[in-house]
Amino acid sequence: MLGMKSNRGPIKGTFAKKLREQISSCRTESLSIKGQTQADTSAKSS
Amino acid sequence: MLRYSKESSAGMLKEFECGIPAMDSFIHEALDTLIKNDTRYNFYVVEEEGVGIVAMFVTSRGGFLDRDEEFEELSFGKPWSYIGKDSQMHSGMMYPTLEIDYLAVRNNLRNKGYGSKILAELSKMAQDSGCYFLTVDAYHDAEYSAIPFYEKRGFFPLQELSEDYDTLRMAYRV
Repeated sequence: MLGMKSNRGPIKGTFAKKLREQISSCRTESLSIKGQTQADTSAKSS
Repeated sequence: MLRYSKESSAGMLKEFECGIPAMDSFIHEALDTLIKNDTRYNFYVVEEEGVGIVAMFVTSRGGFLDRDEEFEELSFGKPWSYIGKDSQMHSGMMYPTLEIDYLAVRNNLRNKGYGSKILAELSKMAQDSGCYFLTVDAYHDAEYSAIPFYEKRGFFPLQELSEDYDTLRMAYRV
């Protein structure tokens, strides 16, 4: 923020780990949705 | 029902006060110049019928660059290649973010749920524009701290809280 003393260095250590967890959680979510869709399609076609 | 309007002038905030001196000074003295001269910033006014202006916020775009062991923060429009420890040029995954540069609720309307509603709208704005996170420098001093407000709504810190700075960098997965 303007006029404030802010520190925007690299995000490291446990903070980077937490951020990575948050990013990868969405990948897992999208993969599981895709998996579910494929399972549904297989069930319909069998 | 809240109405969000993107504005190009801060003239309508002459009477607006959030009660935090540093923020009110900024709103009245510098906001107008900022939004007129720097197109990276988007300024919004939040109104409610019968109440008038309830809040204001300013956003911009950024991103987290994954550098394997750490993340670098980028401002929108900058390239995301970097020189690694091996002195070679690398590129990394960039995760776009929507930065909350400023957010202020009118002084006599605080603690009435407006902040939560506005954060929900900001999450939607972030999702609609392809962003993974909302980010903020949460203001923090001896008299007022915005950190509990953001923590309560799911934001997590990106750094240690330090007495040397007025803010704590935080993020929220939208």
